Amino acid sequence: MDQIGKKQMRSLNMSVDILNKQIINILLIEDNPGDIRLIQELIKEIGNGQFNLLFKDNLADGMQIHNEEIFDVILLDLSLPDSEGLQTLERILTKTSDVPIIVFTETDDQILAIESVKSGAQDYLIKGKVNGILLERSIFYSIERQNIMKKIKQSEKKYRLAFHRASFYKDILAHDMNNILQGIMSGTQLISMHMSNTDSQEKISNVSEIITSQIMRGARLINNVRKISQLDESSVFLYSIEFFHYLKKSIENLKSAFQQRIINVDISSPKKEILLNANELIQEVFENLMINAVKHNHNDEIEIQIKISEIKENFENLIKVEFIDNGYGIDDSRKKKIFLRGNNGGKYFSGMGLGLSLVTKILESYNGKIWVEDRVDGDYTKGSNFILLIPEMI
Amino acid sequence: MTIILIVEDDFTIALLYEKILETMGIQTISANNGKEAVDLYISLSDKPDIILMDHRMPIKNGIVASKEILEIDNQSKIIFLSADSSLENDVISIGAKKFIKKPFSIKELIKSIKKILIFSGCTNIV
Repeated sequence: MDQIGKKQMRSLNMSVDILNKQIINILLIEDNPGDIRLIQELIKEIGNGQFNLLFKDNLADGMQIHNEEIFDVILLDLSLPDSEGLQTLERILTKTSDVPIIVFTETDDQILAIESVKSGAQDYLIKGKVNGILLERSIFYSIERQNIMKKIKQSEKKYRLAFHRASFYKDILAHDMNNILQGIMSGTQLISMHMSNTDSQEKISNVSEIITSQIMRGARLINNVRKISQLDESSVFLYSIEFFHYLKKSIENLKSAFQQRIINVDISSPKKEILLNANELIQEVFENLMINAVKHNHNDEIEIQIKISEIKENFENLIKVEFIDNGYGIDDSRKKKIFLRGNNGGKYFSGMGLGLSLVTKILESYNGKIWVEDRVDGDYTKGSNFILLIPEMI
Repeated sequence: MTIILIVEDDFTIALLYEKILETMGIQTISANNGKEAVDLYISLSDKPDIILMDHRMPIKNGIVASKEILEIDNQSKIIFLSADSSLENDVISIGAKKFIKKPFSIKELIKSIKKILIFSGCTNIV
């Protein structure tokens, strides 16, 4: 079938959906007994008993029943005993966004009719000029239009997310990559400055270590971007993994990445073996948290304390892992923001790189949690405590 | 003795600036973000001759920190270092002496530092 044919078929299917729906529930909010009777009569005429009408004669009762039952469409008189004009529509719109609304207006009030549609009504009918065909057409049309708007909103949301992701990657290129390049450039030029001096052997090797670490940082950044986009795009498989196996590997990697720094890692745990319902990406979580603990730390000796405990939350067995460091800490205004990079519309929160976004995404895929507290309660400058909750494998 | 204040949240970049300035015989002090820079500036009795200022830092960015420092002393000499060249006009209009786009060469940085020091009458430059 060609593209146009397919499109026609699809829109035909949609209409058939409505026509096939056995009962269309209509809520009429109208106080004039004559108008109520008229609509009741018209509804009987049309739709082969497909329409089910319920009416309320004031807005408060109308909104009450709308809360309790599900309607496919609302017919709304704008002038009611307890509400008048456009605000009648606005008040009901605050309670519903899914149900299409058709408003009734007086013959001489075209402006109000158009204002209503602008404010969110799907259609309007002029009192005294309503007949069965018009009413039926308006009901079907409004339901269809509401469906289309819902789809547009969903697609808008999808594109907004894609836009945020694009600006997030742009942000990485503009800032993080440039800083890495700056490090490599300054490093190589510093080496050539030292080259002329034969006593500078040690200085040269120091700087060359820095250059290597910058290149590694660039590689890690690219790796993290790749993993984040994988988590965004595909479903994640979870299986039984052994906690300490990955924790030990992470500590080894950390120590070899920061050979020039003294890192003391202290682990306390009630068990020697813990099985988690997770996957091998857990290693990224451990490594990224510990890398941050080292990078954001000016002390001569870096202390990382890893405290493991078992807790129960909502009948679920969870492993609580605390990464407690003596780094320079995170003040209260940033405690939530640091986890948001790349998930918050591309806004930049400097200092933590991309690692924490990846960590957050991985933990979300495990149905786990992460947050940060102060090592010493109330004094963030004494260091951070990153706390993880990960479901245990039973 | 010439003193330069380095304001940079990236630990490695700050370390490299220190090493570069060290080869010129310049003493350095560091701040991790804009807030630390302003606090440090206020607390120093011997004000730095030059401030190297990054822009994107946590807590307080480079432009806000520069403004605050220039309000305290409009003679402060700030060299602004950022990858975002759209900031150049803003930075110069608030009173920074120079904008250098990252990544830059050491030569460019040294040239700017020397120029500022000569203008301010410093003679003990390496």
